[in-house]
Amino acid sequence: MSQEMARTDTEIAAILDGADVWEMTLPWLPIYWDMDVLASYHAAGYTFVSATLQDWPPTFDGTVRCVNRFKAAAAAASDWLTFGSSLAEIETGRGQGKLVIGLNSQETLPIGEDLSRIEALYALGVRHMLLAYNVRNLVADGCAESSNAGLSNYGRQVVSEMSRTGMVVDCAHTGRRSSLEAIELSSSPVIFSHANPYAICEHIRNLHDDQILACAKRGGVIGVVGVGAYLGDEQARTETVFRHIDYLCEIAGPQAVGLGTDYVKILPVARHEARWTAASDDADTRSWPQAQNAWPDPTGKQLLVENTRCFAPSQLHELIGMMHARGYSTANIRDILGRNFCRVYQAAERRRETGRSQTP
Amino acid sequence: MTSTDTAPASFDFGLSEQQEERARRLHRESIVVDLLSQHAGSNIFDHFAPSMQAELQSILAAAGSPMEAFLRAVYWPYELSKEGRSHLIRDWFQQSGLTCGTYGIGVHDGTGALENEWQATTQRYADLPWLRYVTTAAEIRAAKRDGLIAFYAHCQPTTPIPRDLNCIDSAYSQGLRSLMLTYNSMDHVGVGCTERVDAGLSNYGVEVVRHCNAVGMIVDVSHCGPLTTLDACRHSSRPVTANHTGAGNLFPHARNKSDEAQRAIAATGGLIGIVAVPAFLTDAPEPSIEHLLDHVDYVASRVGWRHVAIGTDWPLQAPEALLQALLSPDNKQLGFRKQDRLDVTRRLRGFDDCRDLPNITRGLVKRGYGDAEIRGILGENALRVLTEVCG
Repeated sequence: MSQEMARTDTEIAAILDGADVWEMTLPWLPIYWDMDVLASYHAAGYTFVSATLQDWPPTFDGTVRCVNRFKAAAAAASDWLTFGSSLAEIETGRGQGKLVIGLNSQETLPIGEDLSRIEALYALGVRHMLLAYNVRNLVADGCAESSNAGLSNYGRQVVSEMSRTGMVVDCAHTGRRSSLEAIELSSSPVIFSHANPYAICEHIRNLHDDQILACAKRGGVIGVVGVGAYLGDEQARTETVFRHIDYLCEIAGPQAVGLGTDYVKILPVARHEARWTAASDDADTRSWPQAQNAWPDPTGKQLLVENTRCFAPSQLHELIGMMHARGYSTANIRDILGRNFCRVYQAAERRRETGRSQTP
Repeated sequence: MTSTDTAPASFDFGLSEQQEERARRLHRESIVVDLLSQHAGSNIFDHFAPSMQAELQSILAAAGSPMEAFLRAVYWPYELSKEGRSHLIRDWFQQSGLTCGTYGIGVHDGTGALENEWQATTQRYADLPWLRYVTTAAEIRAAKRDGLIAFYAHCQPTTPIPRDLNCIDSAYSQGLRSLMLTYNSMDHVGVGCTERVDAGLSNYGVEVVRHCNAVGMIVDVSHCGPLTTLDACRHSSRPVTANHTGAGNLFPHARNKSDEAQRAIAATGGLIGIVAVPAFLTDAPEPSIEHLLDHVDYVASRVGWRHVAIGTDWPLQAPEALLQALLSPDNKQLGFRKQDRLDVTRRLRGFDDCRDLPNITRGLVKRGYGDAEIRGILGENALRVLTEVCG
């Protein structure tokens, strides 16, 4: 090991020491309910992962079952893993050197037409929820819909109720106009937990500059996603992830950037064909929403998710080193690693305190 | 709303005896289709014996929601007929000259209790000796020949069409032949007409339209918003209907269709069915059947009489108090707003219940339509579309 690399390792360790390192989206998939994935986050220095509830098509009952499954998994590895959704719980877990696992929902379908289920999901520990997943629902348009509708009348009620209860409004996978309206309407910062700038990679899942700027202006955060298809890099190289971070920092500032890598362990599929095929045969996990509606390729430039790698937890150190080498301050790096999303959670918890005195 | 203000079918159009005779003949001979009949109308409840009315009240009181109570109210007169206790609804239909009305079959995944109950209830009356559920134009003609009332099935998805095309196939196999894409609100398929936003069909919505085309299901856009309406016409390879609406450029209302939408529907070979809902037709203090006829005239003059039909949708067959709860803007499930001005106490003078259907024919005579035109508007246009789409 060269002296320079050794010095960098020391500096990275210093940056990570006591830092909040948040992964805002981890699809801990039923096809590999294994603890190794979570262990790799812990080993890399992450302190918090927001796990995506797996129930497709999403239902309320299935979502509740999944919450219980995640909590049971955390309880079974309590020496290094703990469940936590509030900032206090997350802070306690970090202080104990444990990885804290929290929850997000990637659809509003579980609440159906019953606003009280937002509070019910909150009580279970869900802290951010996507308004729509690629396709239109009762609330909003998804990012795959070319007709690009705004929020429905009901969708506006949902956003207001989410703000009031302290459930962070998450516009990843949501349509452009719907996301802009949600940002404008919400009384708390809105996030894109896992999405990249369209200016760097033209993909339906990525964000146009107006979405990025509107989100940042209201105190929101964009989590850079590590899926090669949305990075525009089959190899999901650290350098490419940095380019996306750097673009966001340049136009929106380092206070608006975080990580939501959406790490899928078995990408690219070719290396894990058997498992992927088995998963595809399971209607509950793969067939919803149908690919022809949910994953159009209007530009003809999109890479297939299945063919690309994903930024892995083990690449975190390289990413920190890269930000450091390119002149990012330690404070800014820590903001990007986790403090920015912490700030959004703080705002949501404060909003909940004031919201409790109001009637829905 | 306790009594009719005119005797059935007697609205004063100032017709000569010769014109009256022509209207009677046309109404008797024509296929008369109400593309969105609401059964006999709310008046009928006042005509049952008080003891029976008390019975209905206790049935409604036991219902869990306004929608559930509505279902029970609508089918209560049929139940009495099935039990042989009162055939009032049969008599009213026979007096009306109606050939074919509508009933509902839901497009759903079988998990909704109310949807399942609705389905079971409608099927319960399939064997009434005076009623025949039909799926084709030929069956409608046969029903008239046999002296029976025909009902064809139309779906208004107050519960959105599920994201599974198999649900459409399942409803088709039960007899559904006309499917509205959205109700008033935005859903997986499209955007409804009382939404604050307007947008075209979703990707899935385009699939729904194509699937309806493929299986032979009429695509209906009555409650859809402007862009979803136009999008449905663009993507449908078969006639599209707005089977209960009004002319938006004549009287602006969220539920009405603009000239542009009417042209798009007509270009598919489809139909614009005119409602008898006062709030959609006019804000005149005394709405009457003349307003309905004004909308018929308007659409006929813009896109031609071959694209005009009748889909009254009013008055609804349930007691007034129940309807107020059901259609209140507080009932967010249906998506009607205060500004949509739905008022269950208002009806068109000259269209109090189904027995006033001859007034439409009389009004068309008064307004100078020819025999073929009147037959077209009353039912032949509807049969043409039914034949083209459903075979």
